Amino acid sequence: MRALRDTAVVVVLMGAGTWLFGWWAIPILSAIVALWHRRGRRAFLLVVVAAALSWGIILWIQALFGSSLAPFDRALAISLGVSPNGPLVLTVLLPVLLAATAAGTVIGLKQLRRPRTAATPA
Amino acid sequence: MAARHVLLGVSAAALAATLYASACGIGPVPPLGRLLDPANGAWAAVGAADLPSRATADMPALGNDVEVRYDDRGVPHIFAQSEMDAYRALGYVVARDRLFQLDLQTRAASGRLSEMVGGVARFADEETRQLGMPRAALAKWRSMAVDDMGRRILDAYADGVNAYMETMSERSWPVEYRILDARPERWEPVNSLHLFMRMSNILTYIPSEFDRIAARAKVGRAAAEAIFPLNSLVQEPIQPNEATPWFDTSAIAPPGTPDTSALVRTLASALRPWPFDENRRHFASNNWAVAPRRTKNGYALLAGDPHLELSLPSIWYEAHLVVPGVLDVYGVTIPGAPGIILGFNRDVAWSFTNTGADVLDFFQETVDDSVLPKQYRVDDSWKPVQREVEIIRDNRGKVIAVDTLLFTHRGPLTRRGSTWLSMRWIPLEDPLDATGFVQAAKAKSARAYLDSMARYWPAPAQNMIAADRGGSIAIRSTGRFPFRGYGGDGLTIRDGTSSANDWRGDWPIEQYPQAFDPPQGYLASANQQPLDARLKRSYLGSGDAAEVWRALRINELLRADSLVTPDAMRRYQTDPGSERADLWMPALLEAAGSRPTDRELPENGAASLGDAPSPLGKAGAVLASWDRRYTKDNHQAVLFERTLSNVTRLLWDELEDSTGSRVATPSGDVTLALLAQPRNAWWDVRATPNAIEDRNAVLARALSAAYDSLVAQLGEPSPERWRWDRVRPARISHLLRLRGFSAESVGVQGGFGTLNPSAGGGFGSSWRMVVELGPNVRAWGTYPGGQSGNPASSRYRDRIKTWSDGELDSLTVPAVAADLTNPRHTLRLRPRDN
Repeated sequence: MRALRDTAVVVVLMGAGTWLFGWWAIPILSAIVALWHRRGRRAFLLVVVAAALSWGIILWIQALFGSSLAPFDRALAISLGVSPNGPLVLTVLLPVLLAATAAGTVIGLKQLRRPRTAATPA
Repeated sequence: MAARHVLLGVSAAALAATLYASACGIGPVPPLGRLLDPANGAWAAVGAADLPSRATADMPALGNDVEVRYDDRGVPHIFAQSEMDAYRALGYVVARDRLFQLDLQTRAASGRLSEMVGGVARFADEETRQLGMPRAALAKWRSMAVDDMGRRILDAYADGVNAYMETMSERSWPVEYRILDARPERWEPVNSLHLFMRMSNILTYIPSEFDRIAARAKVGRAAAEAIFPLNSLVQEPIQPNEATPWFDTSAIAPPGTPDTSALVRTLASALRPWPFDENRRHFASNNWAVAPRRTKNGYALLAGDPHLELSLPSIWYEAHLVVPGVLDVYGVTIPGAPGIILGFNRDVAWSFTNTGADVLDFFQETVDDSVLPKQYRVDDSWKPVQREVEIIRDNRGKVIAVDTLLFTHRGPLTRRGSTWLSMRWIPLEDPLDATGFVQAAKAKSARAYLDSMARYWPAPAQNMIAADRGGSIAIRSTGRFPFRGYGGDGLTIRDGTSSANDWRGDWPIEQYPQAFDPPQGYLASANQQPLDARLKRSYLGSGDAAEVWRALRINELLRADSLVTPDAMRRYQTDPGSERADLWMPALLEAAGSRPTDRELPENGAASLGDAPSPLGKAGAVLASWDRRYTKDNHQAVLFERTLSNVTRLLWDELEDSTGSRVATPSGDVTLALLAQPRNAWWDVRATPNAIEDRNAVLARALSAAYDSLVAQLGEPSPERWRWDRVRPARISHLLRLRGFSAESVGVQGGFGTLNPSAGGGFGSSWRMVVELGPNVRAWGTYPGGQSGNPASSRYRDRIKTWSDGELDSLTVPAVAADLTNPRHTLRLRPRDN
C-alpha cells in the first residue's frame, strides 16, 4: 500500500514536472528520490516505474484531448527512419533510462559514502 | 569495493551519455529529450491537433474587436471593423495554422535557410543571395514610407503573426522545430517582400538565352534559332482572334557546324545548366472565363487552377475577409502574403496564370580586372562596381560561407568562365508588394480589377483573368514588359559597353496582351504565348516557357460547349483528353505498322518479319487500343509517355555533351513540327553512323525500346500492371521531405499535355476554383492538403481525396458572422493596450 502511494506521488511529480519544466524533470526527480529514499533497490524500482508511467499518462492525456496516437506515431516513425512504433517505444524507454541512470548514480554515490559492516554470523 | 566503483562508473557514464543525447543530440539525431518529451516535444502536436472550440486573444495595435469563425472546412472567416484589423487577423490565423511554413519559406527566400536546417542548404542560400533577391527586398522595404499603404499592410500582417507567437509556449511550437532542433523567430514585415521575391524567382527566372547558346555551341546558330524560335510554332494566343489555332509548318533548319566563336564557346562551357527539367513546360497553370450567353444559367463563369509544387502543407491557405461596406473577399493566400491572391468578392472573380514573359537579360561587361573587377565600361567611361559582402551562417551560428557580391547599374555581376555577365531582371528593380492584392480586392467590375492590378503589379507577369456579375469577362497579361533598345529580342547576350543596348522603358498598358468581352464568348490562358506571332509587336517572350497543349485543349472544349455549367467547368479542370496524344498518335501508329526502310540496317536481325509479334507490333497494338485519354485506369498512357521520352532522347542527340546529358531541350511544338518533316536531318541518330534514320525509324525504335523497358519494369502489359494512376501517381511532399508527413502516392486523372498534368511527380494543380457570378455568388474549390500545418491534425490532408477525385467543395461565403451558424471554432481578437 505504501509502495503504491509512493509510486503514485512520484508519478504525479514526474508528470507535472515534465509538463512544467520539460524532460529534465525525470533525471532530477529520480536523483532526489534516490537521495531521500533509504533503500536503494526500492528507490531504483520506484523511479523507473514512475518515469515510464508518468510519460505514458501524459501521452494518454494528449490523445484524450487531441487526436489518436497511432497514426502520428506511424508518420513520425517513417519520418525519422525508425521502425513502426519506434517513437512510442522510445518515448517510454527514454524516461526509464534517464531515471535509472540518475538514480543509479546517486545510489552508487551513497553506497560509497556508507562504511561497510562485517557480516553478522548466523 | 571495486564492484561498487565499477557500478557507479557505469551508472555515471550512462547518465552522462543519456543526458547528452537528450540535450544535445548526436550527429543527425536531434536532442531526444526535446523531441520525445510527451508534454512539450513532438507529441504535443497530438494534443494540439485541433483548434479549441472557443478562444480569445489580445493583440496590440488592433483597433477594434475582430471575430473569426471557422467553418467545417477549417476556413477562417474574419469579420473586422477596418482593413488593417482584417489583415492583422489574417496574419494571426495564418500563423496559428501554418507557422513553420511561414518561417521556412521566409528563410529560404531571404537566403537564410542554413540558419534553420544547417549547412546542407548553403548552396541554395548562396544562389539566392547571388541573384540579389534579399538585397532587393530590403531596398524595397527601406524605400517604403511609413504611411505608405503597402507598408501599413505589411506592418499590420506582421502585428498579427507576432501576436500569435506571443501566445505560444514552447509546447505549441510545430513539430518540425523539434525535429530540426530549431526555434521560431519573430516575423518582420520585410519577410512578406522576401516571399514575393521568391514567387518572382520561381515564375520569371527563365534564362532562355542559355538554351540558345548551349545549342549554338553544338549545332550552329541557324539550327539553334530554329529549334529555339522566338515564337511558338503552335499558336493559340490568349488575345484571341478568329484565325487560331494555327501551326507554323516552315522547314526547321537541320543541325549545322558548331558555333566556335569565342563568346559562345566560353559561355557554353561555363554556364551552369539552368536546372532544366524538360517536364516543367507541361506544368504552369490554367484559367478560363465564359460569358453569360454561353452558360446554361446565364451568369458569367470563371475557373482557375494554378500549377505549382505540391506540398504539405499546401502552398495555399483559404481565408475570407469582411469589413462591412469596405471589403468582402474570399480566396486563397500564401502564408506570408498579406492579401487574397486568387479568389472573388461579391462582384468579381479572378485567377492568374504565368505569362512567361522574358524580363531577364544578360550583358557581357568589359571590366578592369578579370579576377575581382572594380570598374566596368559603358560607352566611353568607367563606372564603379558596387560590392557587398554576404555572410552565411549555419544553425549553430557558425559562419559557413562568405561571398563578395558584385553589382553594376544593371544588376548582379557574375563571372562565367572568363566572361563577366551582368543581369537585368525586373523583380530586382521593382519588387512586388501587397498593395495590388489589397486594392484590387475591392473592385466592382472585371475591368476595374485588371486596371487596379496593372497599376500595382510589376512582376511576376501574370495572365490575369476576371469575370463580373455584370456579365463581363476580361483578360490581361499584366506586369512590366521592357522595350529592348536595340529593337531585338531578349535571347541574345548583349554587349554591355554600349548603353544603346540597355532597355528603353516599358510597354504601355494599351499594348499589353488583353481582351474584353470577345465575340467568341470565352477566354482562356494556359501559359501559351499571349499574342499571335503574326502581330507585329515588340518582343515579349519566346513562348517556350510552357507547352501549348493545355491551351489547345481548353479552347477546343470551350468552343464545343455553348451551354457551360459550373460542373462542366469543374470537369474541364481534370479533363483527361490530350491534344498532344491526338497529334502524335497517327505518326506512332504508322511507325508501329511500318517495316525498316532500305536505308536502315536491321538491328540484330530484329526486323518484325517472323511469325511472332515483335515488341514493335505489340506496342502498336497497345497504343491502337487507347482512346488517348489519361484516365486513372488506362494502361496505355505509360507506354506513350515512355515512347515520347525515348523520342526526345534520340531526336536531340546532337545536343548531348560528352557525358550524354542534353545541354538544352527544345519544346514539344518544335518536335511536333518535325513530325511533319520525316526526312529532316534531325531524325538521324548519331550513334548509328552507317544508317540514316528517318522519322518512322526513330519512332519505331523509341516505341520498341519503351515497350521492352516497361515489360522489364512492370511485366507484360495489363490493366493492372500498367495502370496509369499506380505507375504515375502524384507526389505531395512535406516541406522538409519527411516521408511520414507526405502523401507519396496519390492517383490522379490527367498527365502531360492534359489540363491536369499532376501525374508522375510533385508538381500540379495546387488550387482549383470555379465561381459563378450570379445575383448571389456561388463558388467551389479545393487544394491537395488541408488548412492545418500540424501533421497530427484531421485538417492536415483532409482534402486530398476530393482533389484526386477531381471534385470540388462548395464554398461557404457568409456576408456577416451570424450567417455562419455552428462554426467549428471561434476566435475573438481584442485590442490590448501596450
